[in-house]
Amino acid sequence: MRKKNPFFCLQSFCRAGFIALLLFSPLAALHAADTPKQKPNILFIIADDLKPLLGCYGTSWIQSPNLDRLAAKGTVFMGNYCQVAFCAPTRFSLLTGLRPDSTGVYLNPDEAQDLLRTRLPEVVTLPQQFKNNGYITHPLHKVFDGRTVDQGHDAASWTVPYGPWEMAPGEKPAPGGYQDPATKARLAEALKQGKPASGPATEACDIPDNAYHDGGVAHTAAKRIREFSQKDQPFFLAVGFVKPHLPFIAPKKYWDLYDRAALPLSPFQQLPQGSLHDLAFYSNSGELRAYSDVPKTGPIPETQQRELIHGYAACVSYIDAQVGLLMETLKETGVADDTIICFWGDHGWHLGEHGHWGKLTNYEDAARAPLIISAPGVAGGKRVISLTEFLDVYPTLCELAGLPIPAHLEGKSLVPLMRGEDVTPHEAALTQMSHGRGKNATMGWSIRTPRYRYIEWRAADFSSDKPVFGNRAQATELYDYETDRLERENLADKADHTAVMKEHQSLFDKLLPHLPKRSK
Amino acid sequence: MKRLILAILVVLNLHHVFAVEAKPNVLFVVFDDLNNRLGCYGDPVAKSPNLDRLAARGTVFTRAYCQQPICGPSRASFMSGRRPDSLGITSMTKYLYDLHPDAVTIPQWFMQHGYTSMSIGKVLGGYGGPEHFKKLSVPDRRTGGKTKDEFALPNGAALPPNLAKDPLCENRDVPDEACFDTISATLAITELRALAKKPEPFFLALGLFKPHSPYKVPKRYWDLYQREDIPAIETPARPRNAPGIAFHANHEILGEPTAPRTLDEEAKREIRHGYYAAMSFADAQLGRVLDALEELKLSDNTIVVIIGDNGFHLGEHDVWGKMTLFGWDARVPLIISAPGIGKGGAKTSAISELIDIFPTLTDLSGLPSPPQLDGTSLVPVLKDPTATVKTAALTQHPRPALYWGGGPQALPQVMGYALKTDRWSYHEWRDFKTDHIVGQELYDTQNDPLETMNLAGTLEAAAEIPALAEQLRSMTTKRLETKR
Repeated sequence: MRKKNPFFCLQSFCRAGFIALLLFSPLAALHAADTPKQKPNILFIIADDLKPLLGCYGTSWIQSPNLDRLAAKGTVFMGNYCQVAFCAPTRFSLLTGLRPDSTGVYLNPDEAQDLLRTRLPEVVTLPQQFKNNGYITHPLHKVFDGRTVDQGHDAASWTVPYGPWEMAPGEKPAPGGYQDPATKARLAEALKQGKPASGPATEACDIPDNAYHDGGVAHTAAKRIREFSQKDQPFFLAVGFVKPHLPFIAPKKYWDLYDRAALPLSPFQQLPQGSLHDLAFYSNSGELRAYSDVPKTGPIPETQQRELIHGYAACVSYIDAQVGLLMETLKETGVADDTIICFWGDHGWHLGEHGHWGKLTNYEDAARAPLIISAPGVAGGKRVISLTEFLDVYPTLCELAGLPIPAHLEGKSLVPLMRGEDVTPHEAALTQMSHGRGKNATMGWSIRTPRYRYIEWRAADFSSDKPVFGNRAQATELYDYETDRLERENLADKADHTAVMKEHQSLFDKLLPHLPKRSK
Repeated sequence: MKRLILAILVVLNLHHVFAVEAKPNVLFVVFDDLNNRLGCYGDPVAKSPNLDRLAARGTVFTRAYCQQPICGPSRASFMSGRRPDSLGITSMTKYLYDLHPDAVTIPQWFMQHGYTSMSIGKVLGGYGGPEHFKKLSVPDRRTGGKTKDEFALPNGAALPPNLAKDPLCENRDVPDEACFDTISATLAITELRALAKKPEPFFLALGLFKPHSPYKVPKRYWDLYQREDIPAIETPARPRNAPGIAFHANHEILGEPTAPRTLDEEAKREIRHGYYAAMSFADAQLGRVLDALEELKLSDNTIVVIIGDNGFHLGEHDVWGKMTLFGWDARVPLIISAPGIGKGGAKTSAISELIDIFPTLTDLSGLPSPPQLDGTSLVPVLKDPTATVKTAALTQHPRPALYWGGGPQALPQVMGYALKTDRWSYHEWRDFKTDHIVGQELYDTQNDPLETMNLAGTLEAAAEIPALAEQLRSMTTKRLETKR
């Protein structure tokens, strides 16, 4: 229960004036914390590498009852796109509200210059904005990508510091999250001998949810909800799950939800005709091939494809159960009707589409990612088809909570769409992907319009602080999703598509005004 | 005296027995282009008190589908109880009795089993071909001497001013009698009075032209709605990733495809307002007929069936008109009130099709059914709204959306089929000659009831399509048009 401030009750006749006074007082923030709670809590949940393979997005063979329940009381953004299909930069972008070309972080960084506070010392992050407005803010597990922040997971963003999560009693998982004794022994032995070693791509031990990391994170998050809901301040609790990221590890009971033989395989496993493999799929499924049981070259055999899809599905159901635990805890503590839930998968993933296994492309399967937001006072069960970007999450949560929207944000609030207004926040969703570091790198920008995707690749030089981009399109791609949902054919050079190309190139120029003018 | 009393008792008793065993009458009312924007279907704005009144007495089918979303083929289909492919009638230039001289329609079948059958207004009408008008107890009266789309004051007086702006709309302060449907309803009431006195049961079909465009109805029906209360178009954009063949040029509202007009926001809202007004006007005409049934004490012995011949888009999916496979066009209102069966006010989500009306009515009336029917009786659903009689409905429409040329011999280039199951709406567009699939759509109508995202082709949907395609194939084996 929130305490009423008796002072305010007595003085209600001059309250407005008092509040005005408070606004100019350095103690305003302090006092605001004592006022009856009006601001909603935020439960901010991230799933790692989750494409929209959920019941509420139209997949009946995936079991995601809790996310479907969230969808029924919230808004499902059907046409939502990440800004980069890679962990660090997509999170960096969403949490600062800035496009990758403004953050300068495009890859999972391995250099100090890519630390958040090195790149953008003054930026107010999404949780920090809530912190600055009287919220308790706290992160659990992977919210930012650990490689972009300080030891405190960007200490400036949180009122309750980043810390460990509690696991079930017993042995801790090995690096990679493995609990299978044989795998753990093998990895430990390799470590002792100083040899590189990797575990398998999947694991399905018959152990409790919180014997693997995400279950431990969810149990800890539930505990935090119980603590925070007793406080006078609203909370912003960020919970970052690491599944369904590889390796596909989930307790056996989630694997048992599926009949492997009945699972589908990707219907189109070829490259788009007329695309450039080295540009479009430079990673060559490298992330998957690093696992001990995956062939280093060549196609992934069909039996293994089915096993991987089975594993991915099990991980989705495992995460879904953790979300269910958090939703139950909100209900149990009486704050469910007072809490905004924002759930997002940080980017998509190719489960064999175009023969690719992984992220790191500009195509629909990597660029499109789930976003579900439920908010008290906003009617649920809505599905939004308008193009939206992860950049929109920051201003949306501010508006929903009644917080000021910082001027630096590059996204648009989605609240009008959630309220059913017929608005178009974006003419196109912008996603980009770079290859390489240093002088001779490449950047591909992709704009997704309601019907098409146009991709333009240019030279990039990352050797100085500020990236320098070329003015010549090294390659272009155009896909028509109304005639070719599976991106079978690049239409960029087709004579009958010159008008569409022109239209998209001028939209490209409008959306990316900082690029040098395109030369012929 | 005792004998007299006994005789009276016997007569009363016999009469009672006769009344119990007598065949029920049938009142079958067809609305033109009526979609599910009705009070009894949950529309927040619609004023449809008479359809709602019937719904309160009967069963509302929330997932009823027409077989082809356009007047002629849809009506030929439900009137004969056969699918458009079984009849080979998928265009407005193919007429039932021209192609099937031996066809039997519902009222005709009832007539052959002792009923007095008649048809007033637009039911099958011209789509039966000239022969149709000779087939019932009295000739089908489709027209009443006035054109259906113009107001006409009874005394020929000048019309008061038109308060509407859009050329498709007319809003004048005229009495209901200035409208064609009012005349049809009045004729139906007159006939009911005569039929009530006859010993044999009757089958009366009444077809109302509204809410078909143009939206020309008396001012008082426009005044039922405030312009600002007309809801905005829920899904104004085409579904994401839907193939172009799913759409057409919207000529019914936008005019000639060569020079279509663009509708500004004001025009869109006025047209949507006009549709609601026209629906409420048609609803009021139904109300007069239902009043007459009650007044004549026929309600307890008359089955009432209400349908729309096809649904209608009013800007949803960027479509104006019908002739698509989307739910706005394929789904239609179906309300059945059968005295003594089921509880009034029931709603069922059991999948049903307009071809089911024929066997449902014969079943309810204790008549045999002709052997060639493609539908299934819905009586189990009337008895128990949670029951189901089929797992899928089939709706089809060709491309070009209208193929006029060539008359009864014309063939389409592509035929689109939609399989509507509990969860999915699966569409295949097949080249008419080769049967190759030239477009494919899948909508998750459970999570995405407004059909905003085509999932076909994706891994997400890959598990669904084989079974749906198989079921669709099994339902599309008859195709008469290729045989000629």
